[in-house]
Amino acid sequence: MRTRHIVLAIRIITIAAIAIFALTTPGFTSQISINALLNAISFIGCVAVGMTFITLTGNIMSLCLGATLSASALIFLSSLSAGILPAFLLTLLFGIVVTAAQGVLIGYFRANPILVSIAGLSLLIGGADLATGGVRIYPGGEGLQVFKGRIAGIPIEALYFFATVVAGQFILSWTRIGRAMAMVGSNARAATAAGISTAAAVTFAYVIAGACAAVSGVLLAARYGSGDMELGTGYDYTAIAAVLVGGTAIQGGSGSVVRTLIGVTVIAVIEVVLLLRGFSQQLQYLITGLIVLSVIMLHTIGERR
Amino acid sequence: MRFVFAMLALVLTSLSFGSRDAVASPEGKRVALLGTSNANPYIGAWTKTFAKFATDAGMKVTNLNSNYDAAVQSQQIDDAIAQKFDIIVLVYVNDQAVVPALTRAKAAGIPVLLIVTPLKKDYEELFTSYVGTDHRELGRLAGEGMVKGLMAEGKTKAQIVAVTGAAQQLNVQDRIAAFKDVLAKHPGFELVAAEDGKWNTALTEKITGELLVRFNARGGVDGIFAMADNQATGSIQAVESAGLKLGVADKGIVVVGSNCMKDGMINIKSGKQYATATQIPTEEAEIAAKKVIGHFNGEKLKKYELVPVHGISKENLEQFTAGCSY
Repeated sequence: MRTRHIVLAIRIITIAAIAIFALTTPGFTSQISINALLNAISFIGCVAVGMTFITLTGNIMSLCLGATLSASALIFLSSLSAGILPAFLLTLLFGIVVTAAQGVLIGYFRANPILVSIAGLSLLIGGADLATGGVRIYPGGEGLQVFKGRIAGIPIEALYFFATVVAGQFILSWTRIGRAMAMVGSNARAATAAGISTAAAVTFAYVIAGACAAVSGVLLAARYGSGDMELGTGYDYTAIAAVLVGGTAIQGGSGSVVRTLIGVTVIAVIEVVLLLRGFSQQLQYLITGLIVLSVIMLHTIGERR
Repeated sequence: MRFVFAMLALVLTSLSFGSRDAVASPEGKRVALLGTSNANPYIGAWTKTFAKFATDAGMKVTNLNSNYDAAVQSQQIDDAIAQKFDIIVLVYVNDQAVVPALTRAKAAGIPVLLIVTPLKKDYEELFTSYVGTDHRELGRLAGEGMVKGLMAEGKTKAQIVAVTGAAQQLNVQDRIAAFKDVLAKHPGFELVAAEDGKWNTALTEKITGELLVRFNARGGVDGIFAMADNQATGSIQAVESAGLKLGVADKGIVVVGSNCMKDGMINIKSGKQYATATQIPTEEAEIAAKKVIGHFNGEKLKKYELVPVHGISKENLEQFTAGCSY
């Protein structure tokens, strides 16, 4: 109990230190900086919310969400000639089907989640290469403005991200399937004994992750007006880092979407502050890595006690 | 009886190989095309074009990608050596990690054609020829485009930032060095920051946004060198999100790139991007394929087969739009 209090105190001190470090950085609170920060957390944040569900069900992480995002962007741009709504729905369906298939393999056939996601990644990259011939895809129609711009001064991407956080947390806290996902991650046998379909819960987690990645792909495609399979490069690793920094347990069962929001914000703030303060690129990577590692270790120690 | 047929087949095969060697020809030659990732539009377009020209000439192209994993690439080179390919065409991942595998290829007598980026001068003996762009020239053209844009705005002093491709790559270092050399001739123009955007659009937008903030209180950013045109799109998005002026017409931030894509053509046309330069994969791949054909026809390749590059701005945009829209 005493150790838990110490760990909690260290957590609060760490977040306070990062906040002070940020607020005393010249320009951090400027409008331009806040916009840059919002943009930085919005896309990766959406993928991280999806990743939270996967981690929570005890399946560690998916290495395929970045590729799903990229492929979704390509599908969206290619199908835009059919109209903005059909293109959006088709993309959403694509993202869901791609990850749900993985969820079925993991949930119903007990396949290794990491290996399944690696296989999914390879299939997506190979499939996209065959379909596009490796060329960059540009919009086949109009209407991208719907997914760009601002509402009440807030970028649409950020609004979407916050909506995803609210919806994600609602599912986890207030729905049966949400609680089932946490139970499956905590103790699959106990969940089965309680009458929960663990396979369905796992599949549903992957469905949510796919939907989040697909919508992120749509928003990124709309933002840049083009897409390729490198669009989502690195999103998987940053997303899992955000999930773990937020405090969701790597073994599953414990965690929340709000925690992921904190995790993604902490990482983005550290990166922004280091760059604003003019740290060299090498030091930026080093310091960010060390802080992320320290925060994760802190959580791990806190959970073991 | 079966033995006789087998011996006959063996003799005929030997004769057929013998005759092919006697009259040098690309027909039937096996090419190991070892790339990084076809998901990269530049590499994808390069691979597709090379495969077409090489196949048309009767060669058999095997394309393997390492997905930027240097260890995987070394293994692929070793496999190509073991399978006795006639030539290895290579985009390397890491200039140091690739050296042992290239040393083994040289020992096995397999010629290596480097594309996209050459190796350092110390390792020149490890490759037969480099077919591609002079990256210093691309950096120089980007620098000249930047200077021209800033001068068109009447500026004599300017703070410029660069968001580069993967910083560890030699081609990136060459471009930045040449870009700096051009700025050095204009004492008022200073490169105040160069950050690694890893050729990625979204990452470039994020970094540009942060750089705009960093220098906002110190006179602001006047110019952005986004190394590739997709990165320029990211930088432009960041400038627009920050609500800052963009383009020479508005006396705003000058954005230049250094290898053209359709993004750049669109942005230059709209005035959001000032300049870029040619590094057209389809053109380079065609030349590389012809050099490989020449090699098998007995042509002695130069160590550096450099593809000419050109600066692109609004004035000559039409000339390069088709080539750059890959």
